[in-house]
Amino acid sequence: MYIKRFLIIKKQLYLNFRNVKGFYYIPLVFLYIVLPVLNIATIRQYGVCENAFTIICNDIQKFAPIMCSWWVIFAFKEYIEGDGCEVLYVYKKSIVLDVILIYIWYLIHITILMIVYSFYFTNIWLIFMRIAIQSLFFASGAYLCMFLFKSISISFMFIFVYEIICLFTNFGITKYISIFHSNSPINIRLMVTKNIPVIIISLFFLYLGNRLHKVYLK
Amino acid sequence: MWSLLKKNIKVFLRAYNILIVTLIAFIGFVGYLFLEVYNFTIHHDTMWFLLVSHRVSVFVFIISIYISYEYMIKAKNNHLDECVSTYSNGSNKLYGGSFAVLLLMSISLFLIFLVFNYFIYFIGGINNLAYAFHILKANFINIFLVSMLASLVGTCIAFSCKRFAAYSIIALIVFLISPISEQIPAAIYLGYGVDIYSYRNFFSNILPSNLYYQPDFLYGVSIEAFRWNLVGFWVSVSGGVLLYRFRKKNYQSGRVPIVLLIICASFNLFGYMSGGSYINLALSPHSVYNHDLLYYFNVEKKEQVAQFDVIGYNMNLVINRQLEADIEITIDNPLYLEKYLFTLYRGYKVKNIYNAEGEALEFQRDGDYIDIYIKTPKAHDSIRIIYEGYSPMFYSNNQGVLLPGFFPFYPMSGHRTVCYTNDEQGIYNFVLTTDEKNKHFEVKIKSGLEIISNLSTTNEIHEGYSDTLSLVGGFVVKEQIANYEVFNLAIDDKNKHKKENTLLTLNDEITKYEKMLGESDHFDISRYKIIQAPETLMHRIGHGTGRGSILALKFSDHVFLGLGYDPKLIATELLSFNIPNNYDKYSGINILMQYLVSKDSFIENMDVLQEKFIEQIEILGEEYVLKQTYHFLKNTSDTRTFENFLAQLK
Amino acid sequence: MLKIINACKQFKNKKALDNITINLENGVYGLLGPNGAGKTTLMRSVCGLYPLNTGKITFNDLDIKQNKRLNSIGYLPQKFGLFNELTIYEMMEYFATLKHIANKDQKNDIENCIERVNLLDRIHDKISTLSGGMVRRIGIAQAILGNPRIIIFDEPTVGLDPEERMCFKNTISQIKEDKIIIISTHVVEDIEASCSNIMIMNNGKLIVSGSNNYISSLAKEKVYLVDAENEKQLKGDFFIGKRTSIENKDVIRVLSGEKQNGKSVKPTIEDGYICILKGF
Repeated sequence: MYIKRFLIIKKQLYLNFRNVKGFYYIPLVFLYIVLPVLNIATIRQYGVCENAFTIICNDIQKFAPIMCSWWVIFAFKEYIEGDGCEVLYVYKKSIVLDVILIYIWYLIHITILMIVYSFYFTNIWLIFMRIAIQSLFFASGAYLCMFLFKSISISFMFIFVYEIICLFTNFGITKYISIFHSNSPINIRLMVTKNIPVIIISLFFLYLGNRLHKVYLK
Repeated sequence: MWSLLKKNIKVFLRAYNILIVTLIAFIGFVGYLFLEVYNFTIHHDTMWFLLVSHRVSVFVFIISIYISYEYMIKAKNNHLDECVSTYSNGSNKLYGGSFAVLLLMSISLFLIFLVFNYFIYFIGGINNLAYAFHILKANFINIFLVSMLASLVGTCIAFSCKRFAAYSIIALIVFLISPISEQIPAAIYLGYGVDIYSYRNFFSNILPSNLYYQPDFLYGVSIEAFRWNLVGFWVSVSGGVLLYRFRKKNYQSGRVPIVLLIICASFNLFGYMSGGSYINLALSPHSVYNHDLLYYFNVEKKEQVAQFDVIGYNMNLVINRQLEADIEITIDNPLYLEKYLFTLYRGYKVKNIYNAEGEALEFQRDGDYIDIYIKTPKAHDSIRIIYEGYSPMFYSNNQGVLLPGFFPFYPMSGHRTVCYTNDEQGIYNFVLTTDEKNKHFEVKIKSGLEIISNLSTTNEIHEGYSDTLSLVGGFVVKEQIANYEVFNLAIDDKNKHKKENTLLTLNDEITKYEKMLGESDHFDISRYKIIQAPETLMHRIGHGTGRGSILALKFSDHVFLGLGYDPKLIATELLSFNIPNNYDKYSGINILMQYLVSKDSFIENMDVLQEKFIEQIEILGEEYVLKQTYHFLKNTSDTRTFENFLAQLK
Repeated sequence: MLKIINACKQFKNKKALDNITINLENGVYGLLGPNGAGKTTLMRSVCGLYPLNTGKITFNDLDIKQNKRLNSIGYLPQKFGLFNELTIYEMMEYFATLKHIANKDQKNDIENCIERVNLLDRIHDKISTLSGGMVRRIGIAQAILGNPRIIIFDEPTVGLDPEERMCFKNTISQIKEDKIIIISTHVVEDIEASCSNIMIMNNGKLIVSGSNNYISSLAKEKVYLVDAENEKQLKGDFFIGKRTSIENKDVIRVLSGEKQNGKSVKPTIEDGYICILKGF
């Protein structure tokens, strides 16, 4: 039964992504072209060393998690802005499993990238966990924003603004709201302290998004 | 018109999802400004407030582009266009009214930021009209034009693109403009040697730069001409696209505004591509830090004393987007040399060189060095050099001018090191001395700014005798501080009291140190023109020198001082100019000056050489060691290292 | 059987559904009413899109909210234009998965539904290349896909040419066995041709429901053909319907509760509808 359900959702997602056309590939371009180009440039500059590793981790943190929200937003655009989108709510009461499946699919791509990096750096699996959790946050945040604002573009805007505030400004508020790690050393204790709340918040976003989905038309 | 606007405002206010986002944004901006007002009560720096208030301009852009897109898409999807297009000017009124609301939003943002900045200006007690106008211009370009441009772009995208393409284009624009993409050109350049900065800058220069660095009080915040050109270009392009979209096909008159906008866009594009001088503090290879660093570490420096004398300079300078110079140099050439050697910073491109008879002379340019070949050598000669350009470090444009006398912004005789570098010690520093004899200067300057020089000024002509020429322009005013006439940085309000204190005690500190070091030639600061050193001079022209800041520059008739800083530091730096330029003795100079400033902090973290120095003081006595060290450092014929000197000191 | 029991739905200051109670057996029902009567609200409530403030809706004695068999309902909303970048087949495939139609049956079902709406020759064309009427037909096709027990059409024939409207009526008559079909439309000919029962709503209330004949009969002896020149002599409350010309004479069709000076004619469903709304 679960396999059947999985196959149904998989097919729906496949068709949702077909509807997105070439824009589906944009996160993959970032993951497989932009990031590696930047990271190779860093290795060429510094060599395979701690310094390079820190810069590479920061670059991955900047680009990888936010791209997960791209798929979530674009895949379910019809649910928000399609003409006659209410018919979709008649047939499908919840898309939270679809969001999770998209997240897993994205995680598979991140894993491929990390496998390549693991040939050069040893601590890469801690970074993978960090990126996985941040991607979950962005995926669930995008899902919530879509149904909260009922607008694709404003959802994008909030996600961009959040990333810029957390990563590129020194506002005092960032230390309370940022899910990103600074150049602090990577260890399990820090991962647990910082990331467990992020997981909880992400799950809460999924729950809230699901609730808003159900009462979409009030 | 007014009722049309009122109705459209009503429509905007009833689009709840857009209204809520707008309100959140406005509340966020106002809250942020209030927080910075609170911070101002701590730091009291008016220009810093202006800078930090504009850090949110990227959010102004992002929010404006999204709100305008959503709002105009709603207007478009109402399908009213088809029916109102039959009315006279129906479509224009329909969409023009909607756009007017977005314009109102931009104006509101502009006014909010302006009010806050003027509030700080007034409570800061600056009282400088030029700076008040600077605030207006800065807010206009960094808030109003940024918001309006974003609204235009969002509107264009709403009417030109389908949904997926629209979202992707908006995301791409935000990506290019925002700091998210800032690292990419740096990584590509450092990793592959490919410079793509100019491509990103074509978008990112819409927003102000250098917002996370200490501002230069002489220069202000970034409102250079090329930024106006760039914004003007994008506004013209977006406006043209919109006009083209809404043109009535059978009417010729619709073409005129489009053509005008194309011309405007071309003009602005040309203006932008012309570039010019500006302060760039980013990671770019053309930045203040990297442009010269990357060059001087890899180039061979030349040192060759000129075998001719420069008697005088007659300069015609135009400072617009950059420096344009037409200089006549009078030369004493007793050896009838066929080649004159000059040093002119490589950022200034020589256009032509003529002799006294007006004949073009051949010349060879190698980095900072020019070799001019003379057709008919004479004992008394003059040549005319025409050049233009700029330096990333020492700016010269409509906003500010900082051309200090040690910097070869005009041709200086001989081949000289412009910037000293030492790979092992990690030193990189502009050479701060001139070793020049006095000569006559007559300088006419055309500029939108009032330019101050070390010479006397009569009828806008700067004239006099000096070892060098320094030019300063921007937010600088002549003021009386502690009975000294000072060319003071007017915006540096937080240090008002400290400046007075510095000047009151400086002379005493100098006298004290001169006594300790046995210096007989007393430096009387009252005989010099005093110019307050801006941030660029103090903190950007060198690193790895062992000193935190460069707080004093001394020339034959003027000084640059870091007013507001510890007078002991300034006094020791002024005295260090008595020591001939010798980087081999650099560690000795540093140790001596650090000891003079504060014995206690000197003793706290000592390296091997410092320990040896203290040891000698304990054995031979402080007065003796200090005087002997000073004498050693001044003695150019003594080529021992400082370590050897200490070891051999008895 | 679909039971709507004391259904109430309030939006801010407006009561969109006011204590509606009705039982619907298998058949085709027309839903008529003026703008703002609550027709769309009722249909959306049946689909489970709007939670009711009070009352409930059940299907085969199971609350519609708890009805997990989503393929029991087919719905065509007033506006329909989704998945513009997919082909017709792909879009139908998407809806087929939403309706949990087994993989092995999907292809046949889809092709059957597309054939019913006469778009089989364009089954692999993108939605964005179709005209508005064709997109509407796709909407009809997805509503009937999977053989749902309840089908709700909101203005199904908007944008369809007369031939396609005929086709739609034929489709309804072919599939109506064992189904509850509710059609909301302002085109009375569609109701006459397709529906066996009519429900009339106004101001959130269900005013009357019954067969076509019953609705028509409500206007019996209330419909007159009056000479146009006698228009000013009409008495009491009246409603002027059509203005036509019979044997070169201008006549007007008048609905009135009072006897008028003209020839009484056989009422239509439209006449019955107007008489109910006007209270004649």
